[in-house]
Amino acid sequence: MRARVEVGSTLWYLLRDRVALFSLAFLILVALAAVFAPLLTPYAAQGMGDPDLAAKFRSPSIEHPFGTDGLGRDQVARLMFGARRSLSMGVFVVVAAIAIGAPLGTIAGYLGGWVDEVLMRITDIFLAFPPLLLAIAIAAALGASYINALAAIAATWWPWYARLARSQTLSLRERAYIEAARSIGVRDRVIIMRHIFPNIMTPIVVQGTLDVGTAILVAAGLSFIGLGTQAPYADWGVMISDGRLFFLSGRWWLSTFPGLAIFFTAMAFNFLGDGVRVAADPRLRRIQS
Amino acid sequence: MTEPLLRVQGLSMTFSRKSGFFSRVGEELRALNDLSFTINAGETLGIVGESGCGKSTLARCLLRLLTPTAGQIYFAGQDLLALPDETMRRMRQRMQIVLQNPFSSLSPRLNGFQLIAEPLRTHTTMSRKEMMDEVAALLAEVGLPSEFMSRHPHQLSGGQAQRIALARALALNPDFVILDEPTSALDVSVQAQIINLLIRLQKQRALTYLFITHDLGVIQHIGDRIAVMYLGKIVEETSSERIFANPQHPYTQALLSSTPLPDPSRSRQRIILPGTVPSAVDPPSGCSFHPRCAHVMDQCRTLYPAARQTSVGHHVSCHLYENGA
Repeated sequence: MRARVEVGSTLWYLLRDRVALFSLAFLILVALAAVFAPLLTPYAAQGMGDPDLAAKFRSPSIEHPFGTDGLGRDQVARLMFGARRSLSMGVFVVVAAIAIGAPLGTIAGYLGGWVDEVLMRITDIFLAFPPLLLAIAIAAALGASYINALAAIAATWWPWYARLARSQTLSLRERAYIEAARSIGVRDRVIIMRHIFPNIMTPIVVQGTLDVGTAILVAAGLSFIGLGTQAPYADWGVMISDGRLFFLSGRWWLSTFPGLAIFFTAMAFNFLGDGVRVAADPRLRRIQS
Repeated sequence: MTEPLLRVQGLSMTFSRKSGFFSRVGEELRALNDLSFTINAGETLGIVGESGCGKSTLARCLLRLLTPTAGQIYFAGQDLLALPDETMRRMRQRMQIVLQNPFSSLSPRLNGFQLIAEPLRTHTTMSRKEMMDEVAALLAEVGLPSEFMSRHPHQLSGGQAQRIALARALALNPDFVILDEPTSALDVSVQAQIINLLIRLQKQRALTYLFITHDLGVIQHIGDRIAVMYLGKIVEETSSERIFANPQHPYTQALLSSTPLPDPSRSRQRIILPGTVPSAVDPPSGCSFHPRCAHVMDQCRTLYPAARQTSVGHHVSCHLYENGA
């Protein structure tokens, strides 16, 4: 019964999980490549979108390990610069969705009554639409850009966190220590901030980590149909989209490498999220010595 | 006669549960049924009863953690149920509760200092230094060294945790403390220590206690008066000496006979009650105890017996005592 969650021990268990550790290392590597892209590639200008028509459609070689695209841009540089948008999109979507959903769900669950009814019916309205279609509709209505795609995806995502936060709050609200705080006369606002929020963050962070990969996929989907990042900049979705016409004509490298980047990144976030879930829950920990 | 610290009149709490979205009929659970009692300043009223008889609901209603469906609660002359929320919030300084299981009533993430300082942070403008001194003094008062400021609940034994909960309840120097089974989650040896601590604190701080328990043995040491509850009603109420010397209600007699005696050479005739506690959703007609009572009479099945004074300060709700017996 003694719920004990310590950040320190969670981290300790996480770092003992080889799959999670490997995924984390991979993601850090991708993030570093994105941040330091200009220093890591001689083709920084191409990564930012400048064409180099003399070098177009080169197949993978020592010079261009992942080949070049139709405008002669080095694919490694494009991938590294694209990672900035794809990765940040995934992370920001989840952060924005948590920032909107978690407080609403917590308030709904804690106060109950009509507040709960109103907030939960609003989330139901959002959940009634297929998420990808809703995101496409919002992105199309706002106009195609990176920031609008982010807003569109976050708008379809927050209701899930609202529900998660609400269900966690409902079970917490009945705990004796919340009742004790109320009997002391602690204000509702303080009870939510000090007693409820810290205790519901673990499942939310776990879900968030698992969701980053999916958010990257959805963001790539929006970019693929032209509703995300606009030329001359690229993200991984744009790169797959640009390359798709040439795939069957033998220029396989154009879509394959960004596809693999999305695949491995999304998978790494899933493994990491799973690792965090196990590490944060003492009941799931297995002693591996 | 001076006004008692707490006066409860006709307190009822009915939980209703709708059986479905479209159905109008719902089940009603009468957790408290027309309770009236008083507690004078400085005394201890023990509330005794089996689990499910409404003891804890009573505690929550008195603190307005639940809103009763009927009745009045006068605390220090003020009608608590009529107070605006903010006035009630400030009133909570004067009435505190200690719950049964300290491990669930203490937030697992906070340490001893944060736990005990929470009421101080809520109701006073003390500086951190002042709070540290205050918390250290409170810890000393409940018999813990100041190292416990940095301990988290999972690092404490049951008795230590309950002492922290007690220190938290005392932090604002309340007049009235509700003790909701404060010892039932503890080992027997620790129970006695906590009871003695409670008695000492009551003397030092002139506290008024409402002590809720299912264990008559515990209440014997601390209660001035005892009220016995059965299915949301008080069936007998009198001084603690008299309830042990002369229990009158058949339910009280059965309850007393089930309390183990500390002396193994003595034994007492146990009264075994047939059946189980009836559901409060569908209570028996008349006297709610009649299906289990050995002395059941015809009128018990139809009419709830009014509380009657059988001697000074001894009230019983039982048809057996109706003719002045």
